[in-house]
Amino acid sequence: MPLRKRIVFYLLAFLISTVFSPAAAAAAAPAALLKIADPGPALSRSLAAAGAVVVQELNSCLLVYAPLPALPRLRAQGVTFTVIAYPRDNVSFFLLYSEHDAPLFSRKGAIQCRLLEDRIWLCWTTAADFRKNLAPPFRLKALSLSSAPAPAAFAAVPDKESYQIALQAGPLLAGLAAQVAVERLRADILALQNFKTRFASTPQCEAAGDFILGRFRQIGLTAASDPFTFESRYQSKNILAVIPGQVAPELMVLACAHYDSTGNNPLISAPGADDNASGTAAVLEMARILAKERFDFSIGLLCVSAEEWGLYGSAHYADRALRNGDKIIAVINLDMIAYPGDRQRVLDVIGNRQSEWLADLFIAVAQPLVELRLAKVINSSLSWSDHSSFWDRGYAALCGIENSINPYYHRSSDMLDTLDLGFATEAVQASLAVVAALAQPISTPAAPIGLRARSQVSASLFSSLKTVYLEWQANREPVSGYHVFRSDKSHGPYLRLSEQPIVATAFRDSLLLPGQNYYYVLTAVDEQGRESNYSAEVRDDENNR
Amino acid sequence: MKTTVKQSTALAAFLAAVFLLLPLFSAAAYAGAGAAPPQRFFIGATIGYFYPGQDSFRKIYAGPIFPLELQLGWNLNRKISVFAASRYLETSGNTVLLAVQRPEETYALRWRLATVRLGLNYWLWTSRFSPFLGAGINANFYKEQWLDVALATTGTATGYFVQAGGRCRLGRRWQVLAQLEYSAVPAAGDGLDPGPDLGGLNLSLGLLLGIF
Ligand SMILES: [Zn+2]
Repeated sequence: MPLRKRIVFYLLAFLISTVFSPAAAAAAAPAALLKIADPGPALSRSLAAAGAVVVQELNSCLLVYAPLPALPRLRAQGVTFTVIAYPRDNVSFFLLYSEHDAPLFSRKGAIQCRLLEDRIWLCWTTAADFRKNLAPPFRLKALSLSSAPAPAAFAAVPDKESYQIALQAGPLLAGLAAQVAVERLRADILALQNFKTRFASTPQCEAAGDFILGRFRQIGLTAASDPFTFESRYQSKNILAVIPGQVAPELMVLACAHYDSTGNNPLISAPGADDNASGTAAVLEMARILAKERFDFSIGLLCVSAEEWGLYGSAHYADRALRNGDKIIAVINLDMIAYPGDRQRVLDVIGNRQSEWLADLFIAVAQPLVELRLAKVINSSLSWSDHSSFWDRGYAALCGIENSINPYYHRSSDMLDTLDLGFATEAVQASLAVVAALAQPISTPAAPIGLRARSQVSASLFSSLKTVYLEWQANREPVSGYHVFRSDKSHGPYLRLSEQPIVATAFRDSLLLPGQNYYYVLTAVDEQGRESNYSAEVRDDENNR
Repeated sequence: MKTTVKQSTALAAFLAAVFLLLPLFSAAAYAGAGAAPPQRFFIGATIGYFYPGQDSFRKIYAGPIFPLELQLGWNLNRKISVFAASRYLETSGNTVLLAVQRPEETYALRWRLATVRLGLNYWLWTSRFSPFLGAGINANFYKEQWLDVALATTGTATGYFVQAGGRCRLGRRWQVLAQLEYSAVPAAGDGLDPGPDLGGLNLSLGLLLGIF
């Protein structure tokens, strides 16, 4: 850029940044972004009452989007916050991870940043090419201000007892894990690397998406591509294949990985072998093995794009899942699973607080099957991959990622020959076993289907009691009866209510607390005394008319 | 709907009884009228018809409720008297369903309430028929019992009342008492209404006997 042009550019950028600075924007903006460092016990109720939503949960604070008129009310309710920005329609917000003290090359650029916690910044901009102003390396997550629900909405933290069903399937899971073939992983990583770049928005990235779609179809799965637009001008697509569940196909376990890549010269070269051909190859290999099996619940195999731009592909998928009320049991996201480095061979299993049960289950199921060490990390600030798009929408999700620093990260040298495919194979084995356990390999007898729950409350002047009515379909094969289980938390631990198997296909559970929700599952018991998997879970009032 | 019909029928019957009996008592009073009664202390008994003030109470205990009361009164002078009374009522009802799935599945209930009332009456005038206004406080001891399951709630609650009525002399010692009372007795519970009110309107009719 010639000097004169550059001066004009910076002048304009400065003007824009001044105009969009919080103070200048306050008068016109209808809402504010707040940082809440101390979420008190009643915060979610106060936020809901104020029409505010949690945009991002971090380890030390929450980022909350609240209408301006609600701020005095929040303050009156004892919520302490600092206003960070006043969003306007044409401003985009990002979460930025940077190890630099100053993440921007120039303070006068068309992007503004505020430190939220150690190395994590909130940035906002109106400029399309703002990435030029960021000192590499950095990680970005685009923030959606409108559609984010409070993460607690789906909170479900089951106890260790509920892993029993998953653990019972141990030998079967070991058999599945043993089928993971290192040569398959190598072939797919190489094929993806050979696209030279998979930088989202490039034709090569689109071709890589087509390649993945073809691979799913080659395996014999129904697969589709799902195009989306990001940053108002670029196109890319997610690829989803589904192994339909046999008992409750509406419930889904999702294995996902991003197939796009980036680098220091991403339009030309971004082989992204570790980041994230490794995770993509893992999803393809899981598809190959799991497609041959039958499960109670559906398994979704999802390869998303535009992760490197700010998690756009997974946000697109998770947004729609939330809108459609999709029942996603759990999401296993794999991102960089083939570079253990010189350190101990450790795969981090990253969850947020609501997904801690999933991290525990992952380790309980998978650690006996692999030699690499699985390390649980509960840290909601680790939001730099696609699991975080699901966290934001209340789904349980975790990220499997190598516990090392890959020196080739986001460089043209992130190539297959730098990888440890033995480590990757074990990471895939672990993840595959967990996905299979969550989807429940079908049992004999089959898990009961069609469980419906209705509840009514009987109230007197001083007391109330709830009664729950359960009904389900009779199993096709002859069974001696059914056991009914109840929990006051979604996903258990469940208490068995029936002493002997119930012959009928209905059950009445009475004298329950009216203000409490209850969750039920069933098992079928056959004439040899074998007990089925749990049925899909229902909430007591799920089918109330 | 059934509830309303049942209650209003009972109320109508009660009112009819009051209006039929009052002229008889009045006639008797007129016949026996003489000097003002010398007694300053009274004992008496009344029977009433209680109409719960709160909608949720009426839904749960839909049947007619007839409280019984014993009274002890003291005329301080021609304008003011004080009294203490103890009232008891008992009725049965059924739970009310929320999010109805099986309308037939309700639980049978029994409601018992004992009330101690302390009050003061102001006499507008005293003659054969003496009207008064009154007010006071009440202490209530209740028990609500679910008959099919082992669930019962006992408790106490205090409240206040205001009333208006009249006494009619029947000879030297006896008087007829008719009064309408409104009471409020706020309580707290986990039932149909988080703030049940045990008060309401109470129309009562009774006899008083002067003792000293
Ligand atoms: Zn990545």
